[in-house]
Amino acid sequence: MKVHVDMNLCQSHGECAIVAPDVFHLGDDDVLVWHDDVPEDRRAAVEEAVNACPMAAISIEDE
Amino acid sequence: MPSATHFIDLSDHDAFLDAVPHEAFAILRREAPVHWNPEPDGGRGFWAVTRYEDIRTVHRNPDVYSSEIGGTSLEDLEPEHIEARKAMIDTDPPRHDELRALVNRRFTPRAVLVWEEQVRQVAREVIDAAIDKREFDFVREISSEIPMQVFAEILGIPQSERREIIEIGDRLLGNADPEYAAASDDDAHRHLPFSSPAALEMFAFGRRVAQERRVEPRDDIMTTLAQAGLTQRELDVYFVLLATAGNETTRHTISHGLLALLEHPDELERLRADPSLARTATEEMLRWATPVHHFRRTARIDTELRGTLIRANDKVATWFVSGNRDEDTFDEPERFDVGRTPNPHMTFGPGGVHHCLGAHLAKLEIRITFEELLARDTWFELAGPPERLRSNFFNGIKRMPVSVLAR
Repeated sequence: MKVHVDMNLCQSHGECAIVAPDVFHLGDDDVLVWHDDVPEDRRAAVEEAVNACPMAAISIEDE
Repeated sequence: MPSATHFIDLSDHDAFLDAVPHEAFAILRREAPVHWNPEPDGGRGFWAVTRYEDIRTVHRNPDVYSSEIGGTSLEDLEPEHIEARKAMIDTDPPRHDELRALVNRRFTPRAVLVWEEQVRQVAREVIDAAIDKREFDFVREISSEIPMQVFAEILGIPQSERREIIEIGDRLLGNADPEYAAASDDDAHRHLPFSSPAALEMFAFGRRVAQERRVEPRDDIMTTLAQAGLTQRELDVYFVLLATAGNETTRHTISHGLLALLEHPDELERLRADPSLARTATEEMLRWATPVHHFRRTARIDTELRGTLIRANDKVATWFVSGNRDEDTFDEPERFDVGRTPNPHMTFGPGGVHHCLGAHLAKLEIRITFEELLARDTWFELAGPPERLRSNFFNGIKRMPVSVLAR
């Protein structure tokens, strides 16, 4: 599945990096980096990140 | 049809005095999730929103539900009063985002992790000193001390003056409690945060520290604020917001956390047996304590929530304390479960631009406090009943006498 983050919304809260650290990571200067192509078996974790994001910045785009 | 008196009056501070009225919230969630609560003391009434999903909807739609039009407290204020006390928490984007950007980078997960060793050092010293007393007030000696010592460093307040911030803050937030009661119903103080003259003391404190930082800058938040080109009023209310939000909320969560462990010995044993539960236990203490009961929004336009018409300018109170016990979101919400997973509590807010700035710092402080409390060969028992703050806004514990036990 494709993971999309709207960087106009992201405020580096880091909640996604806590629930799905293998997908999301706060890099240098606290700018979010993430894998945009994620194996299907991580869907539950990414959905949890979508739900946890205070800014509703994360979405899943199914192929 | 239930009568009007069937439902609790959430504007009544006394309804929260003996305990949080969880059963009354359960009735509201079940029977009237968007409920019109009149204010017998003269307010114009508000919608009480008590279900998790609805609270989320309100907070994630600032275009419909504004923080700025009427502020975030339930008080009905004149526009000039709202303007005079308006801090970041009472603004909408874009002003909110400008104010938040001043300090945001100091509270990201990475920034907060830098403090871990220092928080642990503070916690160790505070706990050791308290335990030596054998019998003491847990609030004064531990749960107020650890967050304030840490935040004094981050803000840039001399440690020698930290108790002054606590003492002023108690009077500010205790504005509905007769012990502190400084809030006045006349108009004299309605331009001040919490309608309390104690705010003037907090302003004076902040101004003095900011002035010192203008002369001699340091790497702390007060320097950032002093150099940010804020107006005097903006600086005043920013300081009040940080000094109270960064301090009292974490204090009460730690107090309620200890109380929950004392009241649930099985969960205490579970946490002792498996220290890796510290992070989930922290989240559960945050859910369980919900130190801030509600925040208010004001409808910007006519809208509809769960089929109920909300008129433009209506007050909308979102009760996090109820959302955190919503049966549709949490399995067995009345159970204190140190391993609860998932735990999407709304103690830091249910999302949206106002999500708690200090969330990661608070979690760090709570986790380390309990790691350190549990690492010792002593434990506690209550030496008297905890004394609750009279407030429908804050789930505060004023004092909690404990005695030290050998394990």
